[in-house]
Amino acid sequence: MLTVHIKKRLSHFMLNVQFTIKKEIAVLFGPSGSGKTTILNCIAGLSKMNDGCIKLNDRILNQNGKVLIPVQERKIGYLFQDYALFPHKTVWENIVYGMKQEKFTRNLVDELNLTHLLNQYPHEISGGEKQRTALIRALATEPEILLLDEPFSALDAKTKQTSYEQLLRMQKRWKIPIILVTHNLEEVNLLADKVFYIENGVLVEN
Amino acid sequence: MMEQINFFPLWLSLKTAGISTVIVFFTGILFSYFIVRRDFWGKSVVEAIFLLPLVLPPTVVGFGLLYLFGKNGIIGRFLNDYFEFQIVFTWYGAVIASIVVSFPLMYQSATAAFKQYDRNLEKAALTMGKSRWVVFWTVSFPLAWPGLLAGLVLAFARGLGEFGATLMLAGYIPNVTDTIPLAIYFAVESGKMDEAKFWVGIIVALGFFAILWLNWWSARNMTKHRR
Repeated sequence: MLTVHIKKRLSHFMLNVQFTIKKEIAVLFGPSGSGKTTILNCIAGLSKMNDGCIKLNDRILNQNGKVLIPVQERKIGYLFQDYALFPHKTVWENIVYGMKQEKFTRNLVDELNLTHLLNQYPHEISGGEKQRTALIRALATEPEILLLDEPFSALDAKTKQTSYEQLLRMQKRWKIPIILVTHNLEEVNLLADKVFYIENGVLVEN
Repeated sequence: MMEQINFFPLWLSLKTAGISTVIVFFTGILFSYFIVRRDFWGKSVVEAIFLLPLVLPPTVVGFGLLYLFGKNGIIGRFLNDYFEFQIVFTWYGAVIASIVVSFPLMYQSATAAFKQYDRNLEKAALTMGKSRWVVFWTVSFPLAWPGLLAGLVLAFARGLGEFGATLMLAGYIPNVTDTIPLAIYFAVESGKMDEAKFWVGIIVALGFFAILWLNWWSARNMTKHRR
């Protein structure tokens, strides 16, 4: 379970959100620049906050705005919008960067059909393949929560459909909280167990 | 003619430029990484100070160094009193002059190199449980490497060609502080034009091949890891 209360001063408004999610897919939905990615960054420990508390399972990550557990020890899988694959490493080298168990990771690679691309560099593979590489790389660290920042925005319609199914399958098996940031209503309808609509830094009743 | 040439200036130049380049490479990386990644009050002032030797006449840099490292200078007196160690009129002076004039080139190249890749790459690595030290050596350094290498070559070439500040701090003492640029100047002064031509040829060749190699290496690597 993830409990979040974030207060953070941004350039044009005050981000002030409070929510709890269980082992489900929660979608942060709203217009660009409303503070969605900042929320993910605060949960990941990549952004400081002015006040608030973040608790993941039995661990307090932030209290009164202060970082209690640094980003490296948070056990968080983070899928960035542009995937942030290391351009100087092959697909396999990317995947093993934070890997815990090789056997488990190899199974994921097989399941998401990346075996034939392991020796390729990120610039040599397609958008959908990059997205799968980034997903496996995040899951290989065996995280307690998965943060997805618009992971489907650069994909074509067909690849998106496949990716949605893969995410739902992963969630069913994995049973960890997943936060998905998007401004695509289709993704909200298809994937969300819970929806948080955010506008100008505050949650709006939907 | 070759029998008459004393090769000491070549070895001294390679030694001083080599040592200063190693020092400048690591300090340049350290300072530029810190400056690029942190925001603090007075950052622009610190950056301006780092780049100042680039725009100042070498004699002004030399004067400043003499002021610091001379017998009555703040650092010079300390070194002399506690370690009986002198910088002025020694080859160490040539190394220090070389460090100060080549540092801005390394700093500038490294700063550009650390700015040119997506910061999310480092953030992604941190979320995968790696320490900042590991992230630096496995992500930041390899991605910045082409720019760092350019800075390294430029700093070496600049260190090799340093004249004004070296003359002010280390002076011209044959077989002690005579680097190639100094040897050229004093060869011309004393009418030894053949000797001067020889050293000019060496410096031009070293600079030319350094840039040629760098361009070749950059072109080869740009095609290897495109994003």
